[in-house]
Amino acid sequence: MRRLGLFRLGEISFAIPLARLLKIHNCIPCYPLPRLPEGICGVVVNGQQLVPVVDLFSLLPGASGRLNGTEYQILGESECGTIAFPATATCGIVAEQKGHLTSVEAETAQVTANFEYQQRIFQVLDIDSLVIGLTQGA
Amino acid sequence: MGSATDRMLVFRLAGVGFTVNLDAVVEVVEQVAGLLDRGRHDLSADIVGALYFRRTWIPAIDPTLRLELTSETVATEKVALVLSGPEGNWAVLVDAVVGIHPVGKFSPAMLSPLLKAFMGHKLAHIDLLEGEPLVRFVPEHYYGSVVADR
Repeated sequence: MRRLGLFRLGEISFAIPLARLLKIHNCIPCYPLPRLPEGICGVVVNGQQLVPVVDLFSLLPGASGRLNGTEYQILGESECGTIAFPATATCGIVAEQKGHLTSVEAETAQVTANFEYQQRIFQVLDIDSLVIGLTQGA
Repeated sequence: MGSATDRMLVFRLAGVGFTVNLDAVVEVVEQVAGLLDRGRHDLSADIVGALYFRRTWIPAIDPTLRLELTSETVATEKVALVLSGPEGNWAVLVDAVVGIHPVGKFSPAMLSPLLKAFMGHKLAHIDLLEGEPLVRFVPEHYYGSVVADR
């Protein structure tokens, strides 16, 4: 049984497989660093580790908004290490069968499906594809 | 009393925190207005002007050019760190000096392969001070005849 971690960034809702979700931080600062590529807006500190923060607004077609005021950082595990997603709200963890997975109209590498749950549509993120896209731009 | 080598100076540039070994710092010039001649520049070497320091003119470097950062602090409000180098003194213009701390207060940060790929080996040494990441500023990477990779 696959479970999904759900979160919101502004008006857009996202889901990532629970197996990839490491931690949720509340109210931790995001620090700028030099030479970060488009799509990475800074880093957060997790223990001794610096974790790049992914700017989903700049990566996903049609998404727009501001990252200022995001309260949460969702830490996920990718093939290239831990990455963080800023979030304005967390929406819980649910079993996949409690909602409906549907295909996206224009499938992108980063979004593999839509997850309909409680009358809201969550975009299911492919973390590894997101990271591969970032490294190709580096 | 500890030597300068035991301490790091922390400064900010475009919101990013940096550290430099205090051993390399000759002096901190808090007010560069009136001492900075912007006409003597060589942007190909990141030299944005000359700073009048101890009765001579020394090159003033703006690291934001190399680091691809955007600082909102105007040149006349910058702080100059005068550093000693093999070719004499030179100045690096920063937004603010934050403080001086003993080396023991810093701990090395771990960078994921992803971050290392983005930042390159010259920026890969980052320390944590009270949870804040600070990039190690290596003077030789910014000024002098050994500088490469412009």
